Amino acid sequence: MDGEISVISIEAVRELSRARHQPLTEVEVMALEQGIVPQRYLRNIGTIGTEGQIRLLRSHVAVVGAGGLGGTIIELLARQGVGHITIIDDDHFAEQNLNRQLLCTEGNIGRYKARVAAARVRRINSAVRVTVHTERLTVDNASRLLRGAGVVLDGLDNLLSRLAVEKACRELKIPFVHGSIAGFCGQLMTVYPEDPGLQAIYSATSPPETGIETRLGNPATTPAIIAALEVQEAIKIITGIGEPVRNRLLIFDLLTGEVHSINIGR
Amino acid sequence: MAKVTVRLYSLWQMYAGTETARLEADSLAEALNEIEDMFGAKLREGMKAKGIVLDGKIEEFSLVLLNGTNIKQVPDTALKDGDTIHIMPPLAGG
Repeated sequence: MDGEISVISIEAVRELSRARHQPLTEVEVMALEQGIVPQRYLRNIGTIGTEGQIRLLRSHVAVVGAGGLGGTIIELLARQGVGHITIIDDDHFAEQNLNRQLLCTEGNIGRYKARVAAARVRRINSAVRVTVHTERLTVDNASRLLRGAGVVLDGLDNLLSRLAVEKACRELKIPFVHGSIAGFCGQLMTVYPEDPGLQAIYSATSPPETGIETRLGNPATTPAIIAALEVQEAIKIITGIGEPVRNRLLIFDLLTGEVHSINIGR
Repeated sequence: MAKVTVRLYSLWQMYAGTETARLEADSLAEALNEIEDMFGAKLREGMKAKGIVLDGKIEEFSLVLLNGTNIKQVPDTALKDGDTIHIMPPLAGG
């Protein structure tokens, strides 16, 4: 018991999982359905409730890119208790990633980002199912890689791939949470299949491949802030609590602390 | 002539020294010319101070939206009173 709430420990969940031959997440869901909260999620319940936690545990989120945005996104999804995370990234960690990419350490330079991220998820939350793709997402394979996910989060570093992801999400009829950064600036928008989305913001015929981040760089804080907001969008979409940022592009100026909202496609 | 609001964001706001401007123009092309006259040099100078050289006019190195849609998708649109042109640096990093 924690106050008035009945709780169950990680070890007890594991024992039940072994005894009943059930996945850890199923045991956690069963406990929550009986009003018993896995202790690891105790601090989630005040905001999303047991029903919200059950929805998260039963959800499948795909993260495209496991670098600056993606690394923090994956970390937060695992801690929040998303049941299944698909990680897509064909890149390897390099020294210039150390300033901002949460999962990059001196010891894993040269390793696949997606594999390092999967190992991190397993260390944080062994109940989470992880699917890893170390191939590059393209227009041709996007639908195949993203199929089955209920939400897709943007950890990408170029607009062409983002447009490919958005197109695939429209075809699969799933929401896409867009985030991108440059210097001390970031932007965020959630795109449902029927929304104008990135298609309205960027020219479909000649989108710029990169933005000013190629010249300004990306410091440590910007990806962490935008990544956290992307995860918050996923939580809202999955639990039904709150209003996702749809049909509005939020622009964050981290030097002034100002946030601007632009109505999109209207 | 349509009365149009111009809004600048993040770095462009800083270098332009203002977040908003008003202008009168009949066409998008005319408005963009006026915007270039007002802010083009300031934006290029701001970035040059960081050692970054921007080529071309504002619409070539910025993301420019007319009422929330990329101007490349509405190139020949006649402007009307109350239209808003949003101008910002393109952010694509992750």
